[in-house]
Amino acid sequence: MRRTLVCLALACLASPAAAQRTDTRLEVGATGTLRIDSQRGTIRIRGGAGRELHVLATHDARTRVDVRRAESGARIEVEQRSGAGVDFEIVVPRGWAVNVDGLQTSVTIEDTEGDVDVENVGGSIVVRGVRTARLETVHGSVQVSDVRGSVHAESVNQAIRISNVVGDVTAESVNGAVLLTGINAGAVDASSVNGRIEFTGSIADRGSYTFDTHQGDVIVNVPAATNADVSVATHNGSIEADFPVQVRGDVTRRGELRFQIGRGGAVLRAESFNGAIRIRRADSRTR
Amino acid sequence: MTDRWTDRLSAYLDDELGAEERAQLDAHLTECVPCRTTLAELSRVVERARALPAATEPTADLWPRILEHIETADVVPIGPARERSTKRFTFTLPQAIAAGLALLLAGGLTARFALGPGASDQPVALVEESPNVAPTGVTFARYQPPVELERRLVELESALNAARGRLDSETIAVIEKNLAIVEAAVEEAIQALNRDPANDYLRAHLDRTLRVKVDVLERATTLAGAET
Repeated sequence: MRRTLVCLALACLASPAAAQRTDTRLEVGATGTLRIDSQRGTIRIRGGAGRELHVLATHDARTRVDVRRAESGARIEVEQRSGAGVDFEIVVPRGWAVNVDGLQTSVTIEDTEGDVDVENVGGSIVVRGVRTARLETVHGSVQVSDVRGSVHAESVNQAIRISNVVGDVTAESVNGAVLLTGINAGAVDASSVNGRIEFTGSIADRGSYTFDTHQGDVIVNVPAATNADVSVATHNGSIEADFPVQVRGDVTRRGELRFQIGRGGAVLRAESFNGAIRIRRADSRTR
Repeated sequence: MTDRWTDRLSAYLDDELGAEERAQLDAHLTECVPCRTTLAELSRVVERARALPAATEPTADLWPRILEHIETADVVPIGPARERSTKRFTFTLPQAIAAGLALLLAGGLTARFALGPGASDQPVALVEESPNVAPTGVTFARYQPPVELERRLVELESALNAARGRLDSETIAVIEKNLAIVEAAVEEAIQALNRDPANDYLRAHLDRTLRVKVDVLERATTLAGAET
């Protein structure tokens, strides 16, 4: 009986499914780019003080994780010989850029304060506290916050949530909502086909703001002091405005109404084929 | 199978290949069924494009008269007049346009109109085809997408069909679901545009939605590693 138990224990240890850890620490420069390519699993990256890159990977015995210095920083490659994923916990020096190429990989990046580029197929993408973000996924959701530069986010099948950004924003979904809050940008372009679009943020006098969907409402919450030339269009929906709106014989594009908020200036376009367009004062308490 | 010839088929049709490359592609076509299928589809697109009439001027343009009725007042207030008021005023755009149309139709005017390819800077063609008379007596035009866009869609759909086996079943299901969503939106916009051919918003919206379809197909074919 005792021999059987020992054999089972040894078999478990040798099993490909048994979890292994690859723990790597590299002294690196103050700036650089971490490139990571992992097809399955999770990746959590956070920024840290100092000049150490710390990679802790949990994986099965048939998977090999290779962490090495590269000309531009560091590179992590995964040789996955089984269907099992790899779970990464990574600390990069703050200010480093991060470039992730995933497949069925959930990615979380926090407080790295550098540029972030993530391409994924499945799995969610969560990014917070970075300089710029470029995020693309097919059927994962995208959530971005606290960015001090531009954000570009795409998800074919899920919602995109972007908040607290000082920088230009482009966000595109096919089957998900695009929800933007706390946006301070000179240019915003948000679109969906089958989702609603909601924007809350400031409008720069010479900025450009475009919101477009086919099936869903477009809700634009802007400050009372906004100066914008607004064009709105819908086919089967309605148009509501909290602002005192006057149309001055300016129905210049067929199927579209144009009007001015404040002194005009910014270009604000909101369109929905089947949904309502709501231009709201952000301080409105009516809804 | 998709192969390196897939994206040369358009040039082949347009007679832009050199003699050697053309001969190679001719030889390839004798043994590659997917390429022959794609070539046939592209040929149909090109034939249809050739059959398009030159820019057709509308025989009557309703819009100026509609606008005239809408603009009877110099300033039309449609929102709350008081600066701090939070009361909302709701209206629908089709209602406004329908009102203008009703004014015209009440006067016994029956109009016939169509837009040609040159009528807008948006690359969208509207051609008259088998007149479809609405209850109002207005004759509608039938929408056709821009030829280059349609050609690109055929190429991408062909490439995706050939390479779909390289994508996992979940991703293919998601792609197909989203393509169906886009196609439903496109169809809805086409029907609306056929009923209201002078509507610039509908044309621009349709154009954008078709480009979303191109984007989704490009994403899918890139994931599948297909050559397009």
